[in-house]
Amino acid sequence: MLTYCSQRAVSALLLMLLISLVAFFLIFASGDPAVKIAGEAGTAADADRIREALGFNRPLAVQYLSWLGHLLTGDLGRSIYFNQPVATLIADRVSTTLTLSVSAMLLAVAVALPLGIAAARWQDGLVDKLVLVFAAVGQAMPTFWFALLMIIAFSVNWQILPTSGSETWLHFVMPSLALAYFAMPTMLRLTRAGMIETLEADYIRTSKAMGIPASLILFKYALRNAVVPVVGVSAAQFGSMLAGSIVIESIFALNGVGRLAFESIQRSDLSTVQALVLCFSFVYIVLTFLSDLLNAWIDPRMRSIYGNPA
Amino acid sequence: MATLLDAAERPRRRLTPKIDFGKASLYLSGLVILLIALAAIFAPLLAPYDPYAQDLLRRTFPPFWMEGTDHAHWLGTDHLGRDYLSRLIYGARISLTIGFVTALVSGFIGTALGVTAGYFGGRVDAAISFVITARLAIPVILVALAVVAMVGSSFEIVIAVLGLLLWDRYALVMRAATQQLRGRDFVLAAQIQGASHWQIVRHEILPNIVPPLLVVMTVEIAQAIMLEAALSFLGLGVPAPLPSWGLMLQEGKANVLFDPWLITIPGAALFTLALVDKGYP
Repeated sequence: MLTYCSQRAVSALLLMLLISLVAFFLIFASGDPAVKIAGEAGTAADADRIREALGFNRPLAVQYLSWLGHLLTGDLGRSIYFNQPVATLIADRVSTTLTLSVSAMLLAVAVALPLGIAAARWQDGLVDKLVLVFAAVGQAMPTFWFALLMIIAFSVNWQILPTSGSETWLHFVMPSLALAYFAMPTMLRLTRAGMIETLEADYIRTSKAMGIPASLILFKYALRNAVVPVVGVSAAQFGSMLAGSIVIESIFALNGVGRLAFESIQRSDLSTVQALVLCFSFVYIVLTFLSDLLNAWIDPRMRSIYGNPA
Repeated sequence: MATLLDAAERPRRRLTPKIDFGKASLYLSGLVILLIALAAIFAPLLAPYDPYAQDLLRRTFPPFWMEGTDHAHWLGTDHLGRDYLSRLIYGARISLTIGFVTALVSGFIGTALGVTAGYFGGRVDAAISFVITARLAIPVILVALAVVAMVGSSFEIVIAVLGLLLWDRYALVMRAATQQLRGRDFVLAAQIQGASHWQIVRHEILPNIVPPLLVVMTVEIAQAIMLEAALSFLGLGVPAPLPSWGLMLQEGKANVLFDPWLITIPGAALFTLALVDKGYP
């Protein structure tokens, strides 16, 4: 287990290094970031001043290494729009994004698990068909369109939910629902597939033969094995939820990290964009790392499968 | 004991003969895709108006099922008085072109990486798998938004950005498919006969991975269409006045309180396309 842990940790660290390169060079996609920051009204002299002030005149390798060095000390850079450390900006907004994504995640799990189990229990039956249609609709539904439809229904027609802001928990209902419906289908399908596979296993048949109550078999013996892949996917889904929060927070004007990312892009606040790309990726890497460990801990067989990356 | 096992294994009896809904819905969705594709191809013939022609005296007319509709515009007009049906039909062109071309670009990248990793294995595989993992860790929408914002939004840029980002699933599936083929007798036979790596890949591997490749492509075409819509919805996708469905949603968003159909119509088109793409009715 220790070897496995350290192997995974090393590969996660290497991954972070590679991602840091991508995040750093992303802002050079337009060629010259100084011209981009100066904007359309900026003159060549403006761009020169920006180049000087932000150090874009140094060799790229020096810029990257100094940026990386600051990262290692926990300095994510300074926002040129707010003139504040990016870390402070993120810290101010992270609770909103966490509230949103955690409640969406809980909602998604709360819907996906029971429906997945029910669909597997009555496989090919009416329940199964309805559940699968429900999942397919969720997969085909553009998240932002679903969000707008909810605004039309709950805010315009019935006027029971607020459209924008983050003051009360009511403000989080529609955004969480939108994100949850986006993440739910994958989890539901995996739960269903896992349960169907486990329910056909020999030990389940043996338990049935021994007269163990069906509910006990379903929820205790089968679910425990079926849920392993769901754990892994949940971690990845949580990461993609953060990306989804960019769209959702913009629609509902929630002042979270996703909206900060989108507005920084619009404002050409390049240092903030860099830092946020890095943070979003790191969260994903850390989550998948943890879910790998969790899976290995739940199911020792996983250790040998992934133990040797070659 | 035997009876118990029999009871456990006895298949549940069906009282009614099973109608094959799966096949029916597959045909139905194929038909809908065909209709959308035909609408896209023959847009100039089908669209009743020029999708770019503005008429400020005829703004936000509602569609035919609502009161106050103008029968000259079946699906009404948008905030600039442009015919909504014409924009919707031309929008199918944008969505499908982006979906297909992106799939070609990303399919090529993903297949090249996946086949190389699966064929050579060992260190090559480890290196490519690492790159795939790195790609998975990158938040697609954030990077796409950032690049489009910096390079400038255009139809071609959106395709290039999506094509360069969405190859991960191709790479994963093609890698697994090639791994399965790698040890098969016909591949080994070709190897023994002295075929080069390229010949083996070209004649033995590639023809056999086409079916899974097509499956991934259908999924990824929908994925690319959705992402383009999301980017355009956020104002960093294809530029106005192109009639992208995502852009139509963005333009309609301002009027969501008074004219919700500006939102429901293009969204329903996107939703239908994604749903039938997955083979559901």
